[in-house]
Amino acid sequence: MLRSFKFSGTSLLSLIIIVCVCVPCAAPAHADTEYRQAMAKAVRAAAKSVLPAVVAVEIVGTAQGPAGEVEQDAPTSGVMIDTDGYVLASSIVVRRPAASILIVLPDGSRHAAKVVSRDYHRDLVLLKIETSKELSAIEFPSKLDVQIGKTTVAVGRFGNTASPIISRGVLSGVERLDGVALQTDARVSAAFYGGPLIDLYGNVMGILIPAVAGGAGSDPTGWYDSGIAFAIPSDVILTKLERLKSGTDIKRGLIGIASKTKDPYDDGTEIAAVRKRSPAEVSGIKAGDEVIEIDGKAVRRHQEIKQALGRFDAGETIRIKLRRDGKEIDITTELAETIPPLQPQRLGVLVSELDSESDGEQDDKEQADDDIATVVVDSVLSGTPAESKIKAGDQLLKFGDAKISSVTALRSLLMSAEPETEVELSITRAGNDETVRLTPAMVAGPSVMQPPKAWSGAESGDWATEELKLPDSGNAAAFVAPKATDAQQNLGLLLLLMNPSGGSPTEVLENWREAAKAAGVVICAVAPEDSRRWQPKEINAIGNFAAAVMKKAPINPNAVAVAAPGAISGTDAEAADSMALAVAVSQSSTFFGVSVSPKTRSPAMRVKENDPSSSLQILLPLSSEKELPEWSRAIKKAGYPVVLGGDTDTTALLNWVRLLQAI
Amino acid sequence: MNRLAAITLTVLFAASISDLPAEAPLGTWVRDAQKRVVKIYGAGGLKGLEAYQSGFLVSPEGHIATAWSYVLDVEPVVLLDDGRRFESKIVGFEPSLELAVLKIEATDTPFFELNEEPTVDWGDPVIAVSNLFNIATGNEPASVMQGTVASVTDLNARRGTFKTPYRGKVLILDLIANNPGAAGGAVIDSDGQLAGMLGKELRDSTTGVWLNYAVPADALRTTIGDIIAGRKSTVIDSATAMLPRKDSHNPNALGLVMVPDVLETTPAYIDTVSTDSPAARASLRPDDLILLVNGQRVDSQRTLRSLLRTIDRRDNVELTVQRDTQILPVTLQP
Repeated sequence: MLRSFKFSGTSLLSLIIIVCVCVPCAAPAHADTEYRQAMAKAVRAAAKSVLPAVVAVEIVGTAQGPAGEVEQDAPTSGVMIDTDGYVLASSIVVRRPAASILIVLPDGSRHAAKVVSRDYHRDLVLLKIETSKELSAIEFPSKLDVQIGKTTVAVGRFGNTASPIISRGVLSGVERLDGVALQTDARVSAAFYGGPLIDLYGNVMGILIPAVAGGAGSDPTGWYDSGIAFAIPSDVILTKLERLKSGTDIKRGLIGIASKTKDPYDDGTEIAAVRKRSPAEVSGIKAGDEVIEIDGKAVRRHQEIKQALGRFDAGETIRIKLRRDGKEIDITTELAETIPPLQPQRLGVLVSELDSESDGEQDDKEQADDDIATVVVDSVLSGTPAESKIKAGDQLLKFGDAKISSVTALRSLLMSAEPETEVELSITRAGNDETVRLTPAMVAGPSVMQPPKAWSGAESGDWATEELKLPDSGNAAAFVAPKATDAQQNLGLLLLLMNPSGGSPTEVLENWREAAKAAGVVICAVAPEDSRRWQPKEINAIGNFAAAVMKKAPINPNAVAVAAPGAISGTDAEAADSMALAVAVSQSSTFFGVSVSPKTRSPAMRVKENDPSSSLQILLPLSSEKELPEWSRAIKKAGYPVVLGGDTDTTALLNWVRLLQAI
Repeated sequence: MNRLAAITLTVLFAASISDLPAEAPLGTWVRDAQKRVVKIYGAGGLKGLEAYQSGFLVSPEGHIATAWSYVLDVEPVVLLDDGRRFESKIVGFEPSLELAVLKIEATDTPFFELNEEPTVDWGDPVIAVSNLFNIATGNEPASVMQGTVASVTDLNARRGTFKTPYRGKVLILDLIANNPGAAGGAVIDSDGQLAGMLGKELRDSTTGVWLNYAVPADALRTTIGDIIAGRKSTVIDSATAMLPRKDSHNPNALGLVMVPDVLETTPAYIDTVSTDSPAARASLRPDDLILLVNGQRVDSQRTLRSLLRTIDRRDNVELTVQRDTQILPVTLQP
């Protein structure tokens, strides 16, 4: 019985207190040494209380080579959760198909394990071995003391002797990774994944997993030994074990709502659109509803909604409190494993938000109505569903039943609209309320839109090239933009990633300047830091360059794209193409379009679902669906529209970039 | 019993507040350790590599233990803690331990004793003293870092991209020791005794990640003693060498026909077993997966072939195989 041992809480506590009291007054210099030795003994005693249940997990015969620094078949750790042979380990052991997964028990014996089930939401995997050996089980407490700053010890097994390995740290945070993980600063190296994180009394606080937070790249082991590591808390694991033992996989729960605001940190929780056939739609949530509480937790911003939903699995039922037409309503909904992918649609209009009559007297409307902007049509694009149905100057009020409360809301509504279905648009035209019926068009497929006349006719003044240097980034970059910033509004922005050894950004832009000026698209050319290759760590830098250029010219934030030279017909795919794809998918709140060669080698990345409020589209210089590359399937499945550009030259590419702002 | 240990620990600790323990105060023994650590400057084998590292005195006659590296391509210059500068001679080295011993013309130098038995276990606190980043120059004392021993284990003998000749016991450190200049530094336990020597930058071949490690003092002791005494090193190179093809085992001669080796890491599955072969006599079967050869992990058919090349064809081969979910030990007799 492993847990029959329980560290005497009071005696240890008194020990720590004595240390705390005597170190600051520091009379005997040896106290420092004594403290270290006492701590070492306490750490070892705590680790020894769990070590009989900590095993090494070896992987034999993986088919592929390493994607990051950590080897695909790196030996890691796991814990015996009972005496029947169930072992909980981290998802790293099933990252790639392997001929065999072996459990090395503390006595050195090896046992073949089979995978029982996976918790995809928490990066855990349940394994099972058959053995007549007597096994020790770990105990997961149902209640955790998660005082930030308390001492934690990561425990694992390492090397071909499966020797104990430990690292001491403190509890750094809770509810990380959208509410699922504890955070510690113990130096968690690859061998620790799947091992327990314990406190000084030997209580299991959680199981260590390989993970990085959003935007930090796609290699979950990228933060090993970095003073930041994550563990799934024991109390949560305890509630999932029966389900996992029954062989049922666990996945993250999805609801299917889109935010009204582009920035999830903005105040307000209004829902702009509800995804078709999603739990939100089934349970009667409607566009325009405001979320007040999620499972009893008050929320004020979309980021908080995401955080509150993050802990729930598919199949779990949650309560949501909403405000609709001034009344509070309660809804329960069962979260789903998948939602049918987005099939983004468009009307074919350029719109803007009318400034509300701001000056002078306060209107006496309800507070909730304050943030409703009026969306007005600036121009209608020829060859689109809007042509002949909608006119410039129309104010768009409702899309079906849903209020159009901002440009982002209208965009989200079209992103999540049902394809080939007629909708009723409520508009105000010349002071009169009217309804217009039309069927939106798919964004995916052949590129048909042409820029409006207003753009080509505008006097855009002189355009000049300027070098751009950002702190914390070694990339050479330059951009070409209008000299006078008031020349034209709603310009596009293209981040052009250069191939390694592709010359200097300033020189490259010389060939693009006239086309940029004609199309009204600011271009920023960025060279890789290393003259031989693009590196994953530069992904964030590209986003920073986009943000920096947007401050220098009147760019529409929805008309921002990233592309590689391969986007132009007849150009080969190189390193920049893979990089552009990786940048677009991981920086999807910045980039609304990406264009690369169809021969691009797909970068190693997890393709996350397209988000209605920050929707990305992909332009390929192809004429037919048949020529689409293999990787585009995964992209389409995740709800990203693939636009066929046909024979794409610089002008066609740049027009597409600026037209990304069209809805 | 554990509870008792916890109480004893408290009592011991409480007692030590009043009774001074035998060891010297921290301030003194850390300073003592610094006096035994030296800075070593060499040519640097390649352009752009740091041409400095650390070492420590192991005799009163100026013998210095350090890591065997490119820094020692020329006769290195040694700076003592007091700032004295010496030309040194390399009196011996042992590549399998990544150890070199230098000698300077100095007498009555303070030095570390090398213990026969290990002085630290996993979890123990240690202090590392080294010339990391060459931050201390001249008579500036070497840098001191604190940490713990994370694990005491063997470096895996798997052949990979990142390999070190050293195959013995190592101290894995919970301490950032993996920095330029730290190699050859001294790791001290909390009694001020030498626990080990900081190793060179190294990636663990099994996990692929950078290791912070030290070679334990007890593993260095005999070799350092032999080199100082002018004896030939007694250490056997444990990185077993490849034998000529005609003298070693190979899958075919043992009766193992493996599945086609089409991938970079094709698993070592047996396709067929030749009749009247060592494999047949040991009742191996098609679809058995070979996991270990003489205790070493087989991650692919390539590894299997190279491991067999290290075994004399007259010797038995110990295999561990997986048959369905069973793990079986098998001995092949030639």
